[in-house]
Amino acid sequence: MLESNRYFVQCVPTKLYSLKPMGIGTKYYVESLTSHICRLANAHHLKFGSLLHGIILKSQEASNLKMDYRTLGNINGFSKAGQDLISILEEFTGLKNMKLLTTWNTKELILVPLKRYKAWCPKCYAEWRDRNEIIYEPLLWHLLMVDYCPKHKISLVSECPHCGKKNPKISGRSRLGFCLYCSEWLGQENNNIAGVKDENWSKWVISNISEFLKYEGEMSLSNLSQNLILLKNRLKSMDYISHQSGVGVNTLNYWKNKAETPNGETLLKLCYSINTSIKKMYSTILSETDITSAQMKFERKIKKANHVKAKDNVQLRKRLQELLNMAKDDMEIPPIGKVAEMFHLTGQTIKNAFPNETKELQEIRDIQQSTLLEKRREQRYLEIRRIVFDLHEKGIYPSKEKVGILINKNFYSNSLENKAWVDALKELGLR
Amino acid sequence: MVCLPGNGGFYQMGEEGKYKFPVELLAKTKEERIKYFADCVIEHEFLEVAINKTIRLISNAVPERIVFTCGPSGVGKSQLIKIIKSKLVQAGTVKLSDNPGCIPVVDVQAIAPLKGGFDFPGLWRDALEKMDEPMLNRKISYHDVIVKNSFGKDVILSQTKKADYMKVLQNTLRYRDVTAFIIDEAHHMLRVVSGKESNWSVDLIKSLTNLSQTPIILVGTYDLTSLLVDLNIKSTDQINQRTRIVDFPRYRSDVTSEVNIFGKTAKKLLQNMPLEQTAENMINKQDWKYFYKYSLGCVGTLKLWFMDAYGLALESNAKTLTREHLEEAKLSEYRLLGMHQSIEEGERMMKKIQSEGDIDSKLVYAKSEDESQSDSKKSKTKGNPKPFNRKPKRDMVM
Repeated sequence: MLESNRYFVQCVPTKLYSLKPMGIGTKYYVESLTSHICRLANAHHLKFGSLLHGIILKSQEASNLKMDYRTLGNINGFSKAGQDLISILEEFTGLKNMKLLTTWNTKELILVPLKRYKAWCPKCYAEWRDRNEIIYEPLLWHLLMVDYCPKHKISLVSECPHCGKKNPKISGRSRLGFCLYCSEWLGQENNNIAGVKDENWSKWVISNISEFLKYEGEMSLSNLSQNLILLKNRLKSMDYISHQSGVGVNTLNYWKNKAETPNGETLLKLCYSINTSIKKMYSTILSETDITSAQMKFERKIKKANHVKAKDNVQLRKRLQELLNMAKDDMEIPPIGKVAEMFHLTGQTIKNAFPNETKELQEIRDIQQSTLLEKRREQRYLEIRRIVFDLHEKGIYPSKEKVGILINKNFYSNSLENKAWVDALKELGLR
Repeated sequence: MVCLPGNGGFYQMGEEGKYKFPVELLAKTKEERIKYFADCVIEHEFLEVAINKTIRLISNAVPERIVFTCGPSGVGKSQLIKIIKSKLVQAGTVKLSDNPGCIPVVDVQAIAPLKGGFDFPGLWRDALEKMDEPMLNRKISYHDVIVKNSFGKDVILSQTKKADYMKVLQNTLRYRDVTAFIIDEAHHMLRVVSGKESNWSVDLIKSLTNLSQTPIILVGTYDLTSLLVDLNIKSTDQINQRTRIVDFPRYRSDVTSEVNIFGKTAKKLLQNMPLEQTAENMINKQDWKYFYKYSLGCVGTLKLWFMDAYGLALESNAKTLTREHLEEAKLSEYRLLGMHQSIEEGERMMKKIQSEGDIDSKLVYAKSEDESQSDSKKSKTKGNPKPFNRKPKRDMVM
């Protein structure tokens, strides 16, 4: 303790800096506990391992605490080790309510599994670095069911773009924003990062789970059970709900009887189908409006399923005619499956209903596609040739691996890419 | 006012006006009584002025401030630091609710180097140890380097290096929300091997205050001013802009008001000496010169002298302090002469720095309309003097 302070006033500075967690109060960007500890170590100019073994685990409260990095990786969830660590950190930093950095309020209510490895949004990293802001890891990035960045509308990345390795959630020498293995920066600004399969679903998941984690009011399993009973009574039967939501009837019954803690993802599926947030399912009894809205959503789904017969669908006939006209004008036409999707039908149904039109369309599309393919092959051939020449000009040997990385594809010996590569090498006199 | 540390502030002491110290002290051991006297702080005018000015300067909205608090040795600079610290700690308690890791004030002593230049990393390390910074030997820092990968593309690579103590201190000062970083005996920092480095040492201090956003108070003897003189010559503008000087002088013997304050302070000191019969009556209109002579007007030196004499008085179990005790404890006149010389030199230097100079002659101001009109009139009326006409000016008296 600082002598002068002890001497004059009763103020004792905390052992570690009182480093404020990031993103508290925001919807999607509340910091995770592992990220906060890493930042704390960084602020003290220490490696995380030094801070953990030299300070945290040496405190009296930590005498019974056994921490390996695997246990530590789970402190962002609701775990005993996490709770113990939080109480030590709160004492050392003077911070309060550090439980907000974990999924503390899921206790006994819902299972929110964590990812096994780190995942991050490369664009968020790049943006923070450009603006000279603090680099950290939001809690949501650690949840298994979250695979989407709501800000950049891309899927989270879990492999290093440079070495391709997956990073552990925490380690003695990990630095936020950098790969543990190749030490390279994980942020990326380019646009070739994939989106998610179903954006609406991903959006729903992330907004629902963040709302649930932020909620500090009372939530209970009995509310969920009562809501399920209510839904069962109002919406025909449990079988009906199961059929419409895609959640097994046994699971629903377990939840209803409070015999099982619901799995987050399955519960979200149910909530998505009845258009109700999970927070609402746990905190209140569903109102009449909620049930009506659920009923309507189910009915809408059924209506979509019980459509008018395909061959009587005027709009579909019109669309097919349009496509035929487009084909005559040499315009590229979509596959039959895509057209079917728009009308909530399968491709086979359309083929059965309009055999002549679909056959004609299919033939035209086949020709179009083969021409396109030829064009693409030619482009690929030229691209590889260019890459080989570029590399050679820079004094780098244009090996198959290097060219493969640059075109984002590994190629085999009998492929077109290989032919292009061999031709280019021959042209350069390298082979 | 009598100030005592350890009780959360300052308060008036005394028992029914007879003693200015707690009576029970008389029954206590010699060591305890000497300790009481050593700890007792007497605030006097120059001390108060220096404290208030220093605190005002660092409390201004300029976080990158460097304050030089200079005074002759023995004027009471350690007491000044003690009081500044206590005041800043009291003011800093408000910050604690917002930042429980806050350390309101840090003071560190610059230790004179055994040989060669001043050991700055050692000073930074001392400061970090004072703030209880954990694991000083394992400090690292991350660096980002941009390198080309095998495809010739730029990639950012993280590198780990052993941390520089200055960087760690900058961070610590910022995170600990330190109101002021005090460096005592700062004149020791001037011990450099070559002239170039004296400028460099201030640059270090400047970058420390800049990056940590913490005001720094350099407390030292008048030797510190040589740094400011150097700075003026080398025109390191940035430092000059941010630097403020607080003079903490001794009491002058030729100014009556200062002599009076000195006398009163000496009297208060004697009143706080735990003795059965306090010796404040030794100071009167005739004898003040004796006290002034052997302390050179410096309250710190006076107190040290009193402490030695008090020790002698306690040893001989005397009821009060006598002239004999003082005579035995006083400094020799030869030593005083040396001290006086260095103090005067320092005072001259300080005067030079605080002098007005002749800046007006270097500046050319834009003239207002009235001024330019009157100037043009003057030029019309006066014109050039006629030949053989004397200028209307008084001749030098030979």
